[in-house]
Amino acid sequence: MSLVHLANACSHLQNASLARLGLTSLPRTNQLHTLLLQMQKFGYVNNVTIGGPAPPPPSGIAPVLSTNPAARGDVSSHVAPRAINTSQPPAPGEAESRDGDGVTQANISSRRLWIGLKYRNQTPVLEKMQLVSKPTRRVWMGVPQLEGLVRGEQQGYVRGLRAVGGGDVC
Amino acid sequence: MKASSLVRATAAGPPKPYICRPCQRRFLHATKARRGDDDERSPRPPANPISIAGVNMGTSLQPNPSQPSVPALPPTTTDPNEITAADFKSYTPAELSQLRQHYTPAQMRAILASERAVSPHDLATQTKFRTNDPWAIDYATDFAHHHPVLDKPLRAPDSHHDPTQRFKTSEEIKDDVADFITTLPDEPTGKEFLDWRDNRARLMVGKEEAERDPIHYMSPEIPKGIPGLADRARKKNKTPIADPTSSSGQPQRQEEEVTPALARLMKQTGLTSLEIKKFRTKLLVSHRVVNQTRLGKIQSLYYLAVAGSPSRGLLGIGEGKSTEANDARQQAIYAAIRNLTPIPRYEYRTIFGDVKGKVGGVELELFNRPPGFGIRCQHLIHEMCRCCGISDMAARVGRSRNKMNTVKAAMQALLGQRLPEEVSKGLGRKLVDARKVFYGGNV
Repeated sequence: MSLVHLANACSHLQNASLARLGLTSLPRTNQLHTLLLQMQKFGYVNNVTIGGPAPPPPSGIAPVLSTNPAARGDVSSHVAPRAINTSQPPAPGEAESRDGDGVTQANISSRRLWIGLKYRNQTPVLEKMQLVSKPTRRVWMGVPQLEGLVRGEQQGYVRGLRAVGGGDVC
Repeated sequence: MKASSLVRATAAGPPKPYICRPCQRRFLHATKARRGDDDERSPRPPANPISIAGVNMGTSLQPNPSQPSVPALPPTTTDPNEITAADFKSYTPAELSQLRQHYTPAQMRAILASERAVSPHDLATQTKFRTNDPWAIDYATDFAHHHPVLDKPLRAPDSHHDPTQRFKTSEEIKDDVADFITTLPDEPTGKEFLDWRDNRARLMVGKEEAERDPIHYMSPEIPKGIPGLADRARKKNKTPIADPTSSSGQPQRQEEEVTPALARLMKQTGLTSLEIKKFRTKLLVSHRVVNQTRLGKIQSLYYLAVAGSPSRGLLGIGEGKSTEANDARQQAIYAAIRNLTPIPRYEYRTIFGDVKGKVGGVELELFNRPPGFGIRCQHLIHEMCRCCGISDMAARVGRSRNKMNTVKAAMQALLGQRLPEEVSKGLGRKLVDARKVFYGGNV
């Protein structure tokens, strides 16, 4: 498994956080997509959306409920337009979409992952992200070792998670 | 702890007391250890055979014809740790009939039930003397009785404390004696006096139980929950003790001279001089510094001080520089007090997670540690921990170990702690302190 894309994603997300960007993008690969969905689940990023070279519209990234109670009944106001679009039949010549992400055979090469970064009190929630297993020193771990790591114990070369918010094992 | 008396009795010969089986083992051991230490003591027959914990006799014992109801202990030459299950035999019909003479049917049923409940194998394997482990005791006991010298003191309840207790004056004692004499019967015997002296006469004024059964003063602790005591302590602190030298009888507080620097500090911080005095301060770094001018070298003294409040978790560092040492010291201490900031402390004793700090070439790491670990840090960080009330912490100072930068980096690290609440809010996830959950919030 190549770690190049992962390493690049780590650096890129750190740099984007330091630059206080609200939205950034990464190549759409299944590996990065899985990783970022896990990070979203654990609260390190706001949202992960698949889009094209240009960022998706705000409504497609973070659909929000209207503050007007009357308007909440209107589905189109708080559902991503993409979701509405995918309900329509695909355009002629375009392959069927996969997973409802709007990814087709024609546009798959140009798809990117759009990631909403999180900040709190002017500090990024995702401060540091780095590879533990590197091409020069691969690290493999089973569940018992990961449990020890989470408890703060050193496992081989890997130091335990001893800082508050010092990381998660997804 | 009647073990010693029993041991003496068994060592001296018959009559032998009843001893439960597990105790036999202990007494055996003790008998061996103490044999010959006080043989002159007359053996004391047991007044009540069931006064000793347990009632059962080991039936491996040889029945003593002269004392049919009191069988002897096993031969004392046997090593107590070599007794096997086979040594504990069940009662013979003859022994049972002997026991029936002593015990009621209900007691007999209890004896036989307990006999069935404890297996000889357990007795042989689980009642060994602990000799090689750190918690082995060096005296023989079955723990059935309390020994005030060897064991933890038994405390009378706190209500037996009377803070107003005092000795009677000679007048009051005279009155007591007079009362006693007036209540004497017409034909007094010595008994009345003995009874009065032992049971009725009192030397103290106050609660009777405070005199007869006082709380233990060998290792006293301030009793809690006594009405009036807390008020007395508070009053005592509030009203200063009158100075006997003052002619007017008014308490005179020594007025501290408020220097301009102190006045400025008081104004800036809004603290009184007494509050300022209460902070814990320590001068950590001092050295000479030199400014080279065209007129020559001008020498000054540099001081770095820390101030803090262990109870409130405050810490501040301050620097002072002056040609006068006293002035520089004072500047440093006052600057430290001015810079006091709260330090987050986990359970008021350690830090939240491991933190890093870097100032100049000093790169240090502070590690949180479990309760009772202590402050295992180098001296500068140790003093800082003492000032802000951290009691469990470790530290590693890497690269440079410059004193001034070490203090500054430690301060930076202490202030750079990430708090679980903040992390939790940032992640939008609920974080739970497993320690608090485990101990039900009692930590």
